[in-house]
Amino acid sequence: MEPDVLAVTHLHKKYRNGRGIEDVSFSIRRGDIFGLLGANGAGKTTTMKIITGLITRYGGEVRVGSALLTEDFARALRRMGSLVEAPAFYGYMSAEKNLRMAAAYYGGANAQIDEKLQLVKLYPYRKDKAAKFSLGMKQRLGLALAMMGNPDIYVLDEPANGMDIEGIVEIRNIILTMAQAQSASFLVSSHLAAELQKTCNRVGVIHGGVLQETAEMDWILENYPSLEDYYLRVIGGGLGNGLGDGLGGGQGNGKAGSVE
Amino acid sequence: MSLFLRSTKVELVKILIRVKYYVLLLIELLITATVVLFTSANGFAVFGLHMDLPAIPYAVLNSLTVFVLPLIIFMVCADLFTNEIETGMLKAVLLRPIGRFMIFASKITAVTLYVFLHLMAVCALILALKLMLGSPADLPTLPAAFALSIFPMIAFVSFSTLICLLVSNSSLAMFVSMILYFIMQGVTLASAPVGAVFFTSHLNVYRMILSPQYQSALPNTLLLILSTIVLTSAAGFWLFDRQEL
Repeated sequence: MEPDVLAVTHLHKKYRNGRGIEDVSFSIRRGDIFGLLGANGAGKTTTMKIITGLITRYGGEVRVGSALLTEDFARALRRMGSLVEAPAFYGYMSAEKNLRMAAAYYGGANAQIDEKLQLVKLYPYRKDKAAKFSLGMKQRLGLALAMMGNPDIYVLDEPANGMDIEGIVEIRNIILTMAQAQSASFLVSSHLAAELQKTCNRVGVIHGGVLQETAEMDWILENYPSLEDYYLRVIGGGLGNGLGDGLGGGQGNGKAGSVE
Repeated sequence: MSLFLRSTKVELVKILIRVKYYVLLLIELLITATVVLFTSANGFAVFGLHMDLPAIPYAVLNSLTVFVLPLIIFMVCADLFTNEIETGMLKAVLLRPIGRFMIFASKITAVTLYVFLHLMAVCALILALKLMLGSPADLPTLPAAFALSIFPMIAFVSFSTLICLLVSNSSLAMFVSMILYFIMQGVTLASAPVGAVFFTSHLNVYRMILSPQYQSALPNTLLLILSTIVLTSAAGFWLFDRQEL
């Protein structure tokens, strides 16, 4: 059986202010679009930073394919493309030059530059300095940078952040197309349930630093009017208006569970 | 090409793509050319000390290693380390399939190469001007002196890197580096034996290598420079590895 593209086990990280994540475990299969849904400060970004190696001191284990992040960092990251928090690029360089710099780490990836720029619709602006881009264009550049090296798994933290409606739809279409055409896997975080509902086939709800539950999107939509209702039920009906009471009653059919 | 070389090339491009670093090199070359040409016509006096054309290249080298290159190193290190951490640009590299030690080593190597470029460019200009003026080229001593001066500059790079990783603001990092350098130079001026423990007292190490009369002190000096590089690099990497963006 093919190993999971990404498996995180018992991730633990506590900051000095007491926030952080606790015992987060989940796995992502090939072709999965896994959404990490949670409020601001729930622990989504911390989880993603650990997975991408930005946080180096933590408890637990991250495995990308067969490569353990702490032991075989370069091989693990070779298969991963990331966009965590604000996109990271050199503002004093053009979009094309930024991609060229990223390509240097993959060997022979220069041929991908035009293709990636066209995919995120930045090709006409490839010679422009990245610092002068709008928020949405910067986000697209971040996405193009994540695509360099044609990774198997994409870790995207709020990828639609700062985008207009058209931009959000384009990002969603790119994710869906790549998942279907290239069997690429995605870990996408958001605090917007409606967006994840349209994009993901699996969802994990993170709340207070703890991954409360993971479930298949089909099962959620069979049992709840929307992902938002499911989320509110999982976190305990936070709004107190009855919306979170849920209609499906939770974990009865085996397609939802606390964590893997 | 190995990953380390490719990573070093990336870091070097990041330096060379910025106009200010070309302008600095250009100003340095213009001043050198002016001094050499002026001296060839009139002789040159610095603080009452008269210099002729054969002595000028070494005076230029001295001013480079004591004043100009340390400032440039502080500036480049602040850009490659503090500023990238401050702005989050470092993530652009940290998210790539390359270990942190290799990133750290690439950055230090790139700064060293850039400094070496300065030394070689000035040396080449002086040699060209000397040939043009019909003065003896002083080969191979002159190029060797410029090339050997890179050793104390590597210590400067690792020292500055450490400061840049200790301070969270790039302007402050430059300022602190400069203040510490001035303090070390001040201590050396006030008491040469005490100042001798600082690598900054041995910036003209080429003299020890090229002149037989100084060679007895050479092993100790090289050991001091080497230990500065090892200690500051190790401390610098420890801090770099702990960066969480």
